[in-house]
Amino acid sequence: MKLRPTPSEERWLTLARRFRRSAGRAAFAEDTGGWRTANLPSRCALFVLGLIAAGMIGVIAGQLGPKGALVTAGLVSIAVAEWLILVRRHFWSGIEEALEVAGLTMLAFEGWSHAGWSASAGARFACAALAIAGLRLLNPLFTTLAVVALVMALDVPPSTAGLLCYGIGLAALIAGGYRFRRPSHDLMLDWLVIVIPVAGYLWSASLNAATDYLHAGASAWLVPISLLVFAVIALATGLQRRTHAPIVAFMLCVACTAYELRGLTGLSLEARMILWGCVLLCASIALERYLRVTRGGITSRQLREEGDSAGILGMAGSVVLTPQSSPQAAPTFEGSGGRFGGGGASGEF
Amino acid sequence: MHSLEEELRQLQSRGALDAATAAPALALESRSLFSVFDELRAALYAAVALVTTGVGLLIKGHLDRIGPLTLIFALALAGAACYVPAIRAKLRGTAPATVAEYVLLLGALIVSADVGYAESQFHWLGANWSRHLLMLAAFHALTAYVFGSRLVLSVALTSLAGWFGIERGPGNLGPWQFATPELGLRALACAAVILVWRAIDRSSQGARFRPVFEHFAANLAFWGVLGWCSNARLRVVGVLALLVLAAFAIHKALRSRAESFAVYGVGYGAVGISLVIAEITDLSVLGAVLVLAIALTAAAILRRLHDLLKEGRA
Repeated sequence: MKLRPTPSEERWLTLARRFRRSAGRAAFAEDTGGWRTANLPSRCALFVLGLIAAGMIGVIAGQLGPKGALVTAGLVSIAVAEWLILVRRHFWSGIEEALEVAGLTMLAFEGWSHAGWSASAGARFACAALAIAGLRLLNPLFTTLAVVALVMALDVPPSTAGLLCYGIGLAALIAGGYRFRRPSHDLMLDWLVIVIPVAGYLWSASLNAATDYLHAGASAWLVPISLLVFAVIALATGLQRRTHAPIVAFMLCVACTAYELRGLTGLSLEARMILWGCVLLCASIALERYLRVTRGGITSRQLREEGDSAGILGMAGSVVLTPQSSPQAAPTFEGSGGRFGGGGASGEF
Repeated sequence: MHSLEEELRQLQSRGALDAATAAPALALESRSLFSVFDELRAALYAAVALVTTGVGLLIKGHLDRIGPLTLIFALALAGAACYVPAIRAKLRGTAPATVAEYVLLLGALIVSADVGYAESQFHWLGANWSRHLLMLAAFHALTAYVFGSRLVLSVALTSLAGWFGIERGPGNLGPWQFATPELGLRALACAAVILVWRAIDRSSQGARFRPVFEHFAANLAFWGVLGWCSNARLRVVGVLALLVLAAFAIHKALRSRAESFAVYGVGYGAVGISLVIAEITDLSVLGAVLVLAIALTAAAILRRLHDLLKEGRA
């Protein structure tokens, strides 16, 4: 009985997903070991259904016998998840991930209730539950959340937590250079590279929500400088290794830096949004045009077939941005994100 | 940093991959070719979101200082300028690049904000003010067809939904927001209009916008019916309509190999019926057992559909 796919099977599963083919097809069947995965829309839907199932197991256990209900529900959820993995050979399918993490979280919650409800104890239990789930299921979301919970559990001052996050981000960036057999190990490091610096910024910025950088001391500049240094290192690494995660991390860190230095120009919020939006638009246009011809192996052309979910995301993005207005509320008209009424509906903003 | 070159070469040697597919895939795996297409697209979307939100705040906050006519004129000018790259591409006879499509989207959003603002200031349509949303829907639809833009078509359909009175925004996403006979019916009516539009598009344009119409119609119809499910008086009608819609969505998924519709059919169906059971039983042990059974059955059905669709696609 295999606990999970071998590295070789995992590589073939990744390839099958990349070509949007079934792992059971002849070309892949002999190499995937009978493991079954799901693509993003199905995985998300199955994850939600798994969470509903785990919740119902909790409700049933609670109503049948309130004492130790969470432990029972947690163990049952984990047992079902393990059955799905070991017998039904589900891997990255969504449902087993939801049941496993929900079960472990229930056990962690029970442990926390015995530990006296302190915040750091809660973070320690959450970290343990997420780390076990993440490593068992090779799920980058859970491992990343486990690292965030770990930093919370350390209960250090925000600035130290921020620096610690940048350190973890850098370590993940360095480790990403190693050639792993398992694609999931790469994904775990990629998620750390993208998420942890942003978490670090959120921690360190909590003390300096409205820093006046024009009159602030040198120590205050540590927050934006740390971000920028990480952004530059990430960009250089991403371009050198030709991997996406460090480039995404660079983009997020630059966005966080721009937000952190929002008071520097003295411009109003709307002026800044329009100005920086135009700058970003022009920079993107210039880069897209420059890279239409492949330069040094880098191009702005689309090289992979677009999936169903990418199209849906594009449509959803347009829907979110479409301004909706009503004339009854003229002085408070709000484009992009305002609410509307039409066809006789009540219009409010 | 992993590379699947070895597996790709094996696939190619087995004849499972042709040379035309294998060559770019190998180039990407060996990193001799690297595309920043997705990063650029994300940056373009962020830029459009920033400018549009900034324009919204500008309209809201500086009404008195700028003056309505100046603002309307300036926005119209900015909006028109955004159509230039797409017009130039059209005149050259080439398809607009990704960048041009996002700039076009920005133009459409600015035009929407401008027209909405103008209507709020001058009340040109009086009591029929909501018709400006219909006009915007028509204008954006025309633009979408001229430039072949799915993003602008999404803006047109959102304006159309607005004209039907379907609200969007934080707090309006729950099915209980549709839990009135009128709103649920409006959502269904809007979905029906979109499907008629899709049928016309199919016969005249070769169905180039089909996915946009179908996703919009499916989501609107399901939200409307979910609203009915959460209303005590409309529950029976809601559940029946939900089952019919779910069957249609799954049929569509199997016929066109679009997995999203299987997710819609099974997901919305399971959530709607679970919602009804939870309300009727007040989530007693029996209710929880039923919801658990529904969730597990839905998961099994979705899993099976996923396998069927993958097998068929490969």
